[in-house]
Amino acid sequence: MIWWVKSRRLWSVAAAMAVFCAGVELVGSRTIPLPVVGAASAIPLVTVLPLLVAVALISSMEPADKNVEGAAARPLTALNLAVVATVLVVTAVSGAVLGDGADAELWDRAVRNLAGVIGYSLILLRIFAGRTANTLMTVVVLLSVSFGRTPDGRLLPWSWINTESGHVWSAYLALGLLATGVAATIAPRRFRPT
Amino acid sequence: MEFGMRDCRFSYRPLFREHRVFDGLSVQFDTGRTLLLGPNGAGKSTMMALLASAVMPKEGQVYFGELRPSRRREQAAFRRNVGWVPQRVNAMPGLNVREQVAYAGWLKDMPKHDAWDAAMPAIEKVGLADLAERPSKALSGGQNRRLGIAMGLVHRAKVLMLDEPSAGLDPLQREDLRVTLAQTGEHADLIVSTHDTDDMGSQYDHVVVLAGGSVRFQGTTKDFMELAERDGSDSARAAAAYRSLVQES
Amino acid sequence: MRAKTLWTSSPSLYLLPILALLGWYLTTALEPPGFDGFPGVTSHVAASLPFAILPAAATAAWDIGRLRQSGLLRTAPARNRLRVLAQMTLPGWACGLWTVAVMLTAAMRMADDPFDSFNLAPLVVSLAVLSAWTLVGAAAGAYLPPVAAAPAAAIGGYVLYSGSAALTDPKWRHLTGYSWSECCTVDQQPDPTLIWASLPLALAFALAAILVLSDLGRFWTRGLGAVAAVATAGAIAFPAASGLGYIPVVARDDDDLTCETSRVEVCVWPESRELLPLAVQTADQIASELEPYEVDLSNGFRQGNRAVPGQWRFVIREDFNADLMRKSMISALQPSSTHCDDPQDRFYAMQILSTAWIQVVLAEVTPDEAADDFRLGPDQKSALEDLLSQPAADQGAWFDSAAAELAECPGTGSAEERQR
Repeated sequence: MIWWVKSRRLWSVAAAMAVFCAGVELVGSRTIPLPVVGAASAIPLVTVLPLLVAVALISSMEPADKNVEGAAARPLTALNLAVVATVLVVTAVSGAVLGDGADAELWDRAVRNLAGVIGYSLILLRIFAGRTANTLMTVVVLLSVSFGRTPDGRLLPWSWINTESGHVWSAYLALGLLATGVAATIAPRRFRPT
Repeated sequence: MEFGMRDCRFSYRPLFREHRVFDGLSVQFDTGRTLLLGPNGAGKSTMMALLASAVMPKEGQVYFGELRPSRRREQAAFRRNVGWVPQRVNAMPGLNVREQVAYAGWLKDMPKHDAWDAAMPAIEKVGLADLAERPSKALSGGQNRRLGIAMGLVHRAKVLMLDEPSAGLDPLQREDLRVTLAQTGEHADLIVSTHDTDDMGSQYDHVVVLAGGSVRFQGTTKDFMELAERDGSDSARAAAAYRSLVQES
Repeated sequence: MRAKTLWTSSPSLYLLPILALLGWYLTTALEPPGFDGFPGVTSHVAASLPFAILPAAATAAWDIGRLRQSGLLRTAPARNRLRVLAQMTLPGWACGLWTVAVMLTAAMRMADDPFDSFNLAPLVVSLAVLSAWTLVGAAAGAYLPPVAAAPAAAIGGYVLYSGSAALTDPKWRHLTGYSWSECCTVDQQPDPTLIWASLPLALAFALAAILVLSDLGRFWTRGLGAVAAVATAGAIAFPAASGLGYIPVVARDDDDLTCETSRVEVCVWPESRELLPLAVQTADQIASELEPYEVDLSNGFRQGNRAVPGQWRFVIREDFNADLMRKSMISALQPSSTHCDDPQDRFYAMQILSTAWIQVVLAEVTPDEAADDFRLGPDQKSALEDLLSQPAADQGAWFDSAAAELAECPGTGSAEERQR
């Protein structure tokens, strides 16, 4: 398994996770004035930080050699999903340990956003090759941050990523995206991009 | 054990600008050593990818005995039995030559220690023993071909398919490859796609010619040679026989 | 490579219509610039620049990644390597340029007088920043794994440019060029020093990326060259950026003002000249109403979007009628205390009281309504009532002294900075 870990560059996922957790803890509540349509233009960093982990994760799910791994007898899809689960569990545990008081809400939001963004990634990875999936996922997240509001400041449905931690529908949406992504990954595929 | 494909349809770009490669192709390989011939773009590599279950047909079945890779429960068993050396393997980041070969064995469900132990003999067979500790991305083109062959040999599949294994090898290495394939052919069925038809009579038992997405010829090497006139060397006769089959279209 | 192949094989061609719609929508949906002239237009473009950087950097990374995957970079092409790479970077750069052009057009359409106070510097910096990130994207495509290159380039450019504004220290936003998006109000101009703070680093990043992409010497010497370029630019830009204020602007040249004096002097900027007669008429009316109070209006009224201690600055919008002009001028007479160092809230109390007084005297607001509007406490309300019970001249004298005290209060910024 160590060879699989090495060939998938899982150290980059671990590094992205470390940066993500440190980022949420240290500067997660800081805002960046990304251009936003609508009233509020200050976007907390916690909204875009999950991109780091998602990009590293998709990169690691892209096999170094599709032919060799495509004909593998080992359940590589299950291993990929195990990495996804590990990332989410580690984030949730980090949140539980580090997030206290005001930070708790920040961590709730970080975990929710990470789950949803990973969901996006898995869905896109089902349809496209890794390079396209990664780029589209980045664009989807940045655009939903920037075009997530009506001019009078009301949040639009696809901008669940911008909502506060207690927003129930956003949590459902993020979980739904994750579940759809996992289902898409597991579902048998007739065609593989080669 | 029966190995082949039945009524297979396969296209690249199934949604946009579809390029159909096979439209109901059936072929069953006989036991022994089979030479797969065909012009460029005939679909030899795609056929091997389908037979290795690295890609799935849109319709039809690939089978090894009773095992079908399309059935999820049988997929792993199928893949343990069928090995494939594609035209080119990519260097795996962070792995050296021995690790990459062992990884290929591990991917085919070998226990880690068995894969590690089996890697070195496979590397020795292809003459890369001196480079076993070198990062696999530091290999030259010809060395990469030999790495791919070692990755195919490591898990002792019952059927081993090799796609253009001699491309990029020098004459001595080709000779070594012949010896290796002859040894491997003693305990596994071989399907080799190559344009190198020298000594084909002694090296292969069967010939399959693929052209235009269909099988133009399937039979013994002797039958194949019969298609050409008896004059000339084996190599010249093989070329003439091949030409007559391919030019029919 | 043939130009047609270059374009049809790059995603940029398919992105152009999407980027046109996006750039237009974004520019028109964002808050309009505070100043209708060219600095306002370019400030609008600078605020939306991440949307041009994103596709430019990502497409460049994508295209160079394709070139790298094809193995062409490892062969020894007869053409110069940089020339080949420049050709492949062109579609990405064109994507960004196209987006900037669309945003510029949209912003100019929104502005009343888009060529007023024409200043090319902000546009030059924006294009330099765009080019730099495009080249950095190309370098990412050449060296990062293809699966991560385009997203890394997209996120890097997008977030670092905008993210600099999240840092408390303003010099980071001056260095990245973000500060150009904060310019200007009608009575301000971009600080000319800002170009020395923002342009060098953009050019250095572009040069560094070119060095990294080129095949001049060994990789480490090129890397060293890139570091040296960025360090040199930093040495030029840092001192310039450190000397600039939070919003790097200077006061607009007073010589541009058009003034007219009747009872009091009223000055407006050239683009509002048409509304000067209305402003003078309104100022006369206010002056006559304040005559019994003997309020000092000798400084006159002056068009401006920010409160400046010691001056009566009023806002003008194109759609102003007599009523709106009067409201604007009454607002101008409300002194500000935000610049004062005010731990006891003494200056704030003074400001609130003088504002309430001006509203009662000029805006036909009753003392009770003023107390409600400005949330005056019982003490402040009784202070207002006391003030209003005094003779008119004493009320005016109190107002003048309060305004003078608020103008002179100890607090943030030098006198010169307060004037900006």
